[in-house]
Amino acid sequence: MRQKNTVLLVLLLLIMALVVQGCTGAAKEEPVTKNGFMLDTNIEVTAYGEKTKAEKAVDDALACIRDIDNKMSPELPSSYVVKINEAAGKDYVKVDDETFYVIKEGIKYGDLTGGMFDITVGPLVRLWGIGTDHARVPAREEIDEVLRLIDYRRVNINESNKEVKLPQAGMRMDLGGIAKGYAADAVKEILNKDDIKSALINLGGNIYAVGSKPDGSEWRIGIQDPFNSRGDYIGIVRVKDKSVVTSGNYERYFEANGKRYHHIFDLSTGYPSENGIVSTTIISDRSIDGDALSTSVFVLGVDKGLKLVEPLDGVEAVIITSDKKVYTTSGAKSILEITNKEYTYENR
Amino acid sequence: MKIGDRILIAAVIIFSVAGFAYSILRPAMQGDTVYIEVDGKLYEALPLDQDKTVTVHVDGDGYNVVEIKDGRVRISDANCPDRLCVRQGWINEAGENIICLPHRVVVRIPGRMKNVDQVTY
Repeated sequence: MRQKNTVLLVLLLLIMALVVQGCTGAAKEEPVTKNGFMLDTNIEVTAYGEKTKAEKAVDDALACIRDIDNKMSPELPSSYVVKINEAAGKDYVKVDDETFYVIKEGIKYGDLTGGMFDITVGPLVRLWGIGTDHARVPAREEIDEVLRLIDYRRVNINESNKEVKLPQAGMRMDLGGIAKGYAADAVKEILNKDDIKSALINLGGNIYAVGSKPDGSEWRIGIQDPFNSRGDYIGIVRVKDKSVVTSGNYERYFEANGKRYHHIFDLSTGYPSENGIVSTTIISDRSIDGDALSTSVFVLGVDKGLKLVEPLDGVEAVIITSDKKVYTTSGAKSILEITNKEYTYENR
Repeated sequence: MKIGDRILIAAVIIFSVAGFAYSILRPAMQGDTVYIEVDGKLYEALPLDQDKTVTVHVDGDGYNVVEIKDGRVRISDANCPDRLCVRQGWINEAGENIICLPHRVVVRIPGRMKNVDQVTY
């Protein structure tokens, strides 16, 4: 009897030791998180690992994003984009390797989407002024006038000197649909270089889930519920080392005459895209692809959008329509779990 | 079994359960501070369990009114162009945030969300 009790006691002590061990084990993995306001949005980088190493990696990441913002912002005087726009109709502007690469990727996506994605959308963005104090519904003639200035195929590229020119005064380049994606890819490279195995990059809702969770399992990324407050999600995608990017009509908009005007434009009309889609999420290896494709699919609509993404290797799409239906590429079904019962899968 | 053994075993069980409960409940208790940030820099940190209303001043005449009440926080008024921050309503859970893009104001409750690591929007 006495011996039995001792065994029991030792067993209990062991359990207690395990519980305490578990607590300290979790505390050791406290990640380093830093925030900033760059690329015209709220950004957050979280890195797991040894403290000083993670701290350095996150600082490097924020410096990298700041640098990209300085080069590609539509407003900052240091930006190559601002210089290109100021020189429109006049001169070539020499740009650095990164900006040159992003501009060429933007042109590539113009080709891939038949011009639905266009890095020369600037005049239309400025005309509507969504998010500014002069947001308004422009007159049809005004829209037609600026649409004539929008055509990515007219961007002059001098490959050998890395020079870029817009051929007509009034044309405006806007890398807003692609710069955040590029930045996420660049930050991921930096975190890898700093030997970080586990990290989360959040650039205004564009997520890059770097590596796996510290315990080796998949990251769980929620997809925002388009009809509910920030943080409520319709479902969860489980991923390792993937970019998860969403474009939604709930993110930036204004209302006039009881109608909502959001910031994703259909370049065939010059108005905000109206095809029943309220959000599109792209899961991919490169975030620049996710950024450009989420906007493109949003404008193309369910059928054309899925047709565009389905053949792309390692790229999946999740589309939500205003009637709370969820359309996906075939590969997305195995990683997406819909958790909000109001939303249902729909096949096309 | 002697009375001493029983006390000892009971003590071990209580400590184990208490320790385990603490390890589970701890993440929920991280969400007890509200951080107000302007342009990526900390403007003010406030406890979520004390009712308070502060006016955040940005860029000359810009403002956002941050209201903490009954363990929740919202932006109750603002003079930004789109007022989407006011529309976002109340938040009360760790990992949630309210963002005013035109004024570069972020109101966040730091900590980890319950079932997801991040939400893409």
